[in-house]
Amino acid sequence: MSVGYRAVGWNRQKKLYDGSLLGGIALYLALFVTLALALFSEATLETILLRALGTLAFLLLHVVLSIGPLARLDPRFLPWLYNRRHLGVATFGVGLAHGVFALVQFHALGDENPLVSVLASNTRFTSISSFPFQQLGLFALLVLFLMAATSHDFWLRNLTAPVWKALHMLVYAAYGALVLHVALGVLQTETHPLYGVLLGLGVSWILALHLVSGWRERARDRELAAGRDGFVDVCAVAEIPEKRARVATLSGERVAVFKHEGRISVLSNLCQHQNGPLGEGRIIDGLVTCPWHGYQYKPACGRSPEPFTERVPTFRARVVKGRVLVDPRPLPAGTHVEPAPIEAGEALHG
Amino acid sequence: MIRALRVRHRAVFLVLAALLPAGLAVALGSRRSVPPSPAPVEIPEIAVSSTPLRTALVGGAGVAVLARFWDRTESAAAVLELRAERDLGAPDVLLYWAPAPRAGETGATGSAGSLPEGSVLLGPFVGTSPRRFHLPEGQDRGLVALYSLGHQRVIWSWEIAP
Repeated sequence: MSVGYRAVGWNRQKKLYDGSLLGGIALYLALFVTLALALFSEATLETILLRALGTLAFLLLHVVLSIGPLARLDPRFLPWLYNRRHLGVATFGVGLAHGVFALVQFHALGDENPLVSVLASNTRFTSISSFPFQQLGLFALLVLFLMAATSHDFWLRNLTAPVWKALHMLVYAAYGALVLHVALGVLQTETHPLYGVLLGLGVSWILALHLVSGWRERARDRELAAGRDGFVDVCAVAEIPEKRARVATLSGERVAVFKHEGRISVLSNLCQHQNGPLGEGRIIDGLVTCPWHGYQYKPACGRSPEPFTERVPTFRARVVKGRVLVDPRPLPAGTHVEPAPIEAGEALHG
Repeated sequence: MIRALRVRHRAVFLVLAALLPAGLAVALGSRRSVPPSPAPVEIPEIAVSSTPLRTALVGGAGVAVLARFWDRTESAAAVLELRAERDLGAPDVLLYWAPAPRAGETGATGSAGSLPEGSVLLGPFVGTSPRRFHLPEGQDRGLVALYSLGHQRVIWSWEIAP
């Protein structure tokens, strides 16, 4: 969280994250090359490096795609989410190295432009075993480039979080293309059952994680109905832990109902940074704190403390007989709403 | 994530859950038992009518090649026939001929290393079928070497001397 733009707002955790990432990449490449040289005498060093980089990029993409749903299913994975963009950029970097190696090894020695050669040398789109799988890899690489290039907060702020998120959902198309790139490419000639089984396990893992977490989110998206006075009975005060929130869906979007110091405040559940779930965060130093990247907001008005300028919509609320009632109509972002007091004894109702 | 994107996310993964396993099954099920390779280059058969002048099974660096040599053929050029006993286990193997061995060198040798200076490419050498190659006209003494372009080294060689 910073007022101005910096290439990277380094802190100890980011350094640790990136150091571990780079160390892991170096270790994987060293192990892969050493083992391949020992086990496959017919393979050239170029081919081994090509495959080391390709498998690593694919593996990293699996990790990147696992973090989101894992964090939804278990908050202990939230620290992985904190610096996920660096992991994504590293995935693109390794994938780019794989692509450049392939371009040089298979397309750079003729009299045709290598990039044209990638697109034009094989046009057997109707064949399965000879399908031009390189073009699927190129498509995925372009998507990863787009994501890496727009990963900075500059783009996030200027595109707005919903547009940025929608853009970055292209990664799922890239993943599908890469699965087919592998299945129609290297696995057409490498026929050992282990490779097919590993690919199947990876695909099953990603699909299962996203489907399960998506199903859970769907259940939480069920909208609560308003009463005669227009207010929605969200929950009992006693169901909300102190300095935490209860999340509910009202008027098509989620709100976070916070309890703090004997009062109730209701904010939009969407952090302005990356639309992170504010309701899964805590109140730290009197401020609602997003669990993803630590962006903070005042509970009463939804404004970030000075000098920060982020604002989220607020909602009117009242406490009646130990129940929290919320007006589902959002107020303009940053509007001050006096927190609803919890009368003595009401906190125990419900 | 906003609700609209969550809905889109669920839809995307329902589609992927249907398409990816199907695509994977089709791709893996359509694999050929023999990897696809470019059409073989047509190489004209070299006729020989006499018995070979020399025959040797030459081993070296895990490679065993049966070599036969004729110094007179119908085309008046010396002919070399090679047949690998088993797969060479090296990528992109090419056959080279290095003329003019030094006087007094005879017999078969197998060694690893770089190509001698002035080596001439005779052609690619793949598989375990016998292949015949013309030596350059007027030359019947020298070193034949199998060179792995991938490993950038000689994996087998044989010296031919009268």
